[in-house]
Amino acid sequence: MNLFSRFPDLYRYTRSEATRARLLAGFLTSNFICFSVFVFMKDLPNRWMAFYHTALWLQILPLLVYGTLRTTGAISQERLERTWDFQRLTPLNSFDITLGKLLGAPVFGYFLFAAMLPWTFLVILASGDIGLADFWATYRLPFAVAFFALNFGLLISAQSFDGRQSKFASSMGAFLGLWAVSQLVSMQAVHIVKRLHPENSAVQQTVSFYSLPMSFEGFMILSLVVYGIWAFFGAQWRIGEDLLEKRRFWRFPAFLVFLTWYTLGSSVPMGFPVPSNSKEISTLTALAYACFFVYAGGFLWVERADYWRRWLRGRKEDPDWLDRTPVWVTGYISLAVIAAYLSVLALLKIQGGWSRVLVLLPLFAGRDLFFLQWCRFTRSRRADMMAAIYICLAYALPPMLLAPFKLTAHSYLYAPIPQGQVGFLQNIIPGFLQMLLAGLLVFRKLHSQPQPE
Amino acid sequence: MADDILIETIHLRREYGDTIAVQDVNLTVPKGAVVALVGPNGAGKTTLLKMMAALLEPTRGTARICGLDVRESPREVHSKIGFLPDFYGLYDELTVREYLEYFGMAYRLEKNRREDIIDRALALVTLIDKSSSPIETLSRGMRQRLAIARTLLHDPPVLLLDEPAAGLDPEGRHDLQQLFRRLAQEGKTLIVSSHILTELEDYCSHIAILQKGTLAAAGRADQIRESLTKERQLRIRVSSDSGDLENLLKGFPNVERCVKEPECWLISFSGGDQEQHALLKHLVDAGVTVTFFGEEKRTIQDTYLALMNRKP
Repeated sequence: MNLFSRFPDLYRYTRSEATRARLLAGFLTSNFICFSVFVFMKDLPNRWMAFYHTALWLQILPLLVYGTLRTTGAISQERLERTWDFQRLTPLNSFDITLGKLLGAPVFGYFLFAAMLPWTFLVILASGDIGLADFWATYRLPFAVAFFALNFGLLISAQSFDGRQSKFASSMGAFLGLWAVSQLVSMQAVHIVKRLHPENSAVQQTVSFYSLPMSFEGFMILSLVVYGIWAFFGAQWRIGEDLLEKRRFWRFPAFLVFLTWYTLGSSVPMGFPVPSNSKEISTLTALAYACFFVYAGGFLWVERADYWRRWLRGRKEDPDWLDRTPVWVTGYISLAVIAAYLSVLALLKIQGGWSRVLVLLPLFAGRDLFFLQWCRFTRSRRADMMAAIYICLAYALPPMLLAPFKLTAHSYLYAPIPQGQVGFLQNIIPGFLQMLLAGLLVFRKLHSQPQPE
Repeated sequence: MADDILIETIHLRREYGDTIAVQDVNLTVPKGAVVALVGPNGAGKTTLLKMMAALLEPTRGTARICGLDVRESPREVHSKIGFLPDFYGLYDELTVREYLEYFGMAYRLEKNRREDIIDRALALVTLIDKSSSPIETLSRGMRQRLAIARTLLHDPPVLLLDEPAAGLDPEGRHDLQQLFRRLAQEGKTLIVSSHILTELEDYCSHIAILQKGTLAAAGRADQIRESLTKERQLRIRVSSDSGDLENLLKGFPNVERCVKEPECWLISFSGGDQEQHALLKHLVDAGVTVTFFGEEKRTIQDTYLALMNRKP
């Protein structure tokens, strides 16, 4: 079985995106640009190095901008044009489709990259002071950025459910590409400064990851590749749901646990003074990241009243009941477990009132997620938008109303803020009551709706 | 499930929030049947077809296609069906052959067999001479046939076609009818949903009528027609000097309605063969010069309208 047969999407994109005329035009244009730049730079003092870096940019830009645009539209466009169901009917599994789209959708970007590669090798051969080690050193970071951006684009695309979201996902591609370029620019700037000023300690940072020292660039590459892989699997899982493949309840929690572990392992650059509250910072950052993704999961996976009824009803007879658990429920339970674990760590290692956040944050997150679900059980056509607006107002409005009366000491009533002047229970009870109330409203709404006989 | 039953739905139900799109549908389709799935807009035809195609999970109940449960083995069901949704999205930038090549690969057809299968499918939908044409240059009818060719690639025994004739010109519809006839002759089991009831007439062996998500009637076309349309429709042509025919007809016991058409009379008649014979005799005895006297065949449209409580 060749690559085309294994990943038919690669065949399709090759036939549609990489036509002979397009390839020829792309090859001639890209090489003409490289040649023009080379001629322009030939009199510069450090011309080989300057051209080498320019050529690298010329190569990577099509991948970052065009490639990301293509992967962001890979699935959303199919949903928009209603060709997605035809792919769902084929025996292709989610892995074949996801990898096929990752390889196929940006195929013209890959071609442009390859078409300009000879110029890089020409520099390596001709300059004498740029070796293959430099090639790897300069290309690994752009590769990592491109890998992450392409996979993340695919994840955005896979998450679009309807036409509106599909259009949004498609337009996100341009922003994602620009973001990737901006990240690369800043990291390349550090790289160049590092090369030109090896004596500057600020750019010679070493990061400690679970006591393992690594360069800042190495850490960035690791993070981009690791989260690029997670993004790929995220896209694959979402596609798998469409293909009616078995949904596994542990997938989202596994990501949250990994995210927490990864965040806890990354500490401040070595050689810099360690802040006294670094443990608090990394613990709260880990919880905040997990919380952010639980919110994201809650908004992205839409499980409406009929899904809930079926899930609640099928507890005894459905063998896949656990796997059908609504995503935000598994996410929220994971968040609670992570918060409990972090609380234990905090109690063992660090003391202080801030640790109340570890209890408060899950309580308020629970309130918000229950409220989101309640909005979805109403007849609102824009339930998610309504929920997002009300949640924002719930945090923003009280301080605006209370500030003129100098009642900011009561901010713990409406936000996950530890308040040293009040006791632990008094601090957490408002959040707990709000979550309880939101939960009761959801279940009341679920049961008060007309039940189909 | 009996051997000759290829499709079976058991209390199939689908809810969208508070709306029940399909409600407890029990339908059986024997092997080789061509079923006309009819019903007004929003009756649940597309939802029903999508559940049968294992593209949409039922809220309750299930469906079995070739003995495979859509809930338990949706991926296996996909291999047994060819599904044509009401919107046949194609990849315009590919040629006809490339498009089928792509789906041939996706259906994991062996490379040495793929060419032959594609040629056969193209021949069946009469697009063989267009195989190198870009899809964007095809007419609507050709695009529709190409979409059908895609559904045939893996040689499924069941074809589910949702509004296949929508938007086609008369020639396109005629070509499609021919194609369905050929597919029926090849032994495929077809479920065709359509609004254009007259075109289903020629090749449908069974009818299923959906109304507000429930199955109002289903079975062999002739049986359904008979059970739903009790009255016969008689067409009578007489010579121009036949006097007061309307009163003569209305005076006969089994004549329910009579309508004057430009060249003839159309009569709703509730009697049987004997009464029909008596009516003819009654007219002849009254001195009416009857030049044509015959029973109109009931169409699917008549059956459908009868069920919807409308006058045919």
